[in-house]
Amino acid sequence: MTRFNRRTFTKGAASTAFVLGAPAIWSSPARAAQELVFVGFGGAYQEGQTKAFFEPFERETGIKIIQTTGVELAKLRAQVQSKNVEWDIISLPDRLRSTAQQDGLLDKIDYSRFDKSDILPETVSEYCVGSITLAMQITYNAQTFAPGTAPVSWSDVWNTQKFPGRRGMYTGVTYTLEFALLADGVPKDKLYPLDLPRAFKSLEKFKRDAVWWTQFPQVEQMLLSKEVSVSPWTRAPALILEGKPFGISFDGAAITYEGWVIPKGSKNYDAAMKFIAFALQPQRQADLTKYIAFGPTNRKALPLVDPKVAAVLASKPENFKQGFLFSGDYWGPNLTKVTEQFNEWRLK
Amino acid sequence: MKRSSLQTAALLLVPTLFVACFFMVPLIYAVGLSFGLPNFTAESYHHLVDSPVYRIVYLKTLKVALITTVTCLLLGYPTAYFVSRLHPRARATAVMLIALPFMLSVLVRNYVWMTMLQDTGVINRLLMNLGFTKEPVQLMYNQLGVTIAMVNMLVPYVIFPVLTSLMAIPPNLKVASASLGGNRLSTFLRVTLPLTATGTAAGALLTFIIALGFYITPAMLGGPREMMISSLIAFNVREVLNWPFAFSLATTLLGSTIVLYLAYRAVAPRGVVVKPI
Repeated sequence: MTRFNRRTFTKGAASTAFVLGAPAIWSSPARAAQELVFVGFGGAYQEGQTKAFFEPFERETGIKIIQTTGVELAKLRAQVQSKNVEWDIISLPDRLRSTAQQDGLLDKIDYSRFDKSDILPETVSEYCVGSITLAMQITYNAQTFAPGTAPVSWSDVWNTQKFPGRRGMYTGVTYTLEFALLADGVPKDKLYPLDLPRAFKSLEKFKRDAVWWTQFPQVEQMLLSKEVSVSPWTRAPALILEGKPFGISFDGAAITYEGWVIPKGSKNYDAAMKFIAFALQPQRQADLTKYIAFGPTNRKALPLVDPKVAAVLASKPENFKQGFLFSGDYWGPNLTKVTEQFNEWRLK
Repeated sequence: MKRSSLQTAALLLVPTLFVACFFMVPLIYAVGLSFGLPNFTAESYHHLVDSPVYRIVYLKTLKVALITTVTCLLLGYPTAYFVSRLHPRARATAVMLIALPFMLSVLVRNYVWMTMLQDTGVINRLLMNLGFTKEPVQLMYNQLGVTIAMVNMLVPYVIFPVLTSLMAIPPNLKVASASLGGNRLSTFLRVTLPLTATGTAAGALLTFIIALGFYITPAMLGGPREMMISSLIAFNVREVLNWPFAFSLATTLLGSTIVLYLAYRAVAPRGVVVKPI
């Protein structure tokens, strides 16, 4: 069944226009108006991507970027399976990247198109090249703790005697189990594969007494209203730059990344690769940090970033080495099984 | 003028085709996938039965839906009764006020309830300032918080059908009951209640079925134990792309809903129709 969508409509409209306006077109240089469909997460992030990537890319290449929102693996799979791929370019979180790759939903990145030597090697792989870095990290309300008395490591967070207040905990196995193990003394480089019984045992402390949250935006309100004193979170850097009273620590932070990927069967692979090479340029990546506090993956971008902003980014080497690299490749094949164990633990 | 049956059939053809193409076909496909289409395997169902998690979560889901429905009935029926007796203009305003929350997204309403119910929330601060309690009362991250928010979202589904059936009662029936010696209570029990039974049952069924599908609200306002089957379906569809298993969960939920509906049909009050003489 062919679906009638915007793209087929555009094609239809274009051919109609061609017939009607043919005499006019013959006299002007014929150029196929190229377009590229980007799907993003919306909000301030996508507005930043528009200013830092899409608008300059359109100016430079004449390739029009059509934006949509709602990154969703299920939709991606439906497109690839029905061989009707609408999306051409996504900045996909590492964990989803791993599942998408396993499921055969991605095209390979053509590394002959750009120089990858400056890109953080941890974010470079066959089907994906890093676009931004971010951290799931200890975040607290800076008004709750006097300077110097805030919890800075996961064992601090687990120490409720010395650091009072209720804890926020992410209701998911990713990140949460890693933090539980770090708090219990597992060294950063020995985390994967996770020692699950030990992680659940360590989490037992917070089973009844923490606020278990599910939606990332929830945490801002929970911390500001002092419902919790400290929680792991990803979004504090941007808010700190806006002057909100959050404190963060990169000690034991889960550093992760999003990477540019091209869905398998994209109709505009060539233009998509052109876009990726463009967006990886140092100045482009540095520009993004003006709008949203995500770290660049190109080493040459960091010196171009406002030092105040760079200080809260996961890409800054001092921050990066304090944390550990979150493993999307561990979670891809293990998420289902471990989540079932986690749910069982929750219900017990 | 009576429409010919041919005309009626023609009119019904479009909606029937629409439902068949966009609802029945995908539904059958989903059920097929749960059995491992194009092969046949009941692997997903085996897993569902073998793991203790799913049985517990199914029962939890039914429990939450049931508590919500009963609370909605207890609150919704008196509200509808009150509204039905208002002056027409006041009634229109009341109906609008009841429908107003529908214009806010579910997510926004969850956040509103969070700021109301949490330890540092509006209600607890009020209680503590007035000296009713020293320690905050645990109003959310438990079954209570989930029930409060779900009832808030679902109570209009009881109010509106009940209100409609209340309004359909001819006013002279009450006069008739009074003239036969019935007091207000016996008039309510023997006239009003039976005549609104169909509407009430329909509202309850609607509420129950919608409540079965909730999951964001229980996830946000409940504790780690408030887990709904829909959240497990969403996880398998969206996060790990395990569609056969997700669809086996969905098929089981659909199946149990159908069984409940048939049970309802068997015991449901037959509508009392008032015919003008």
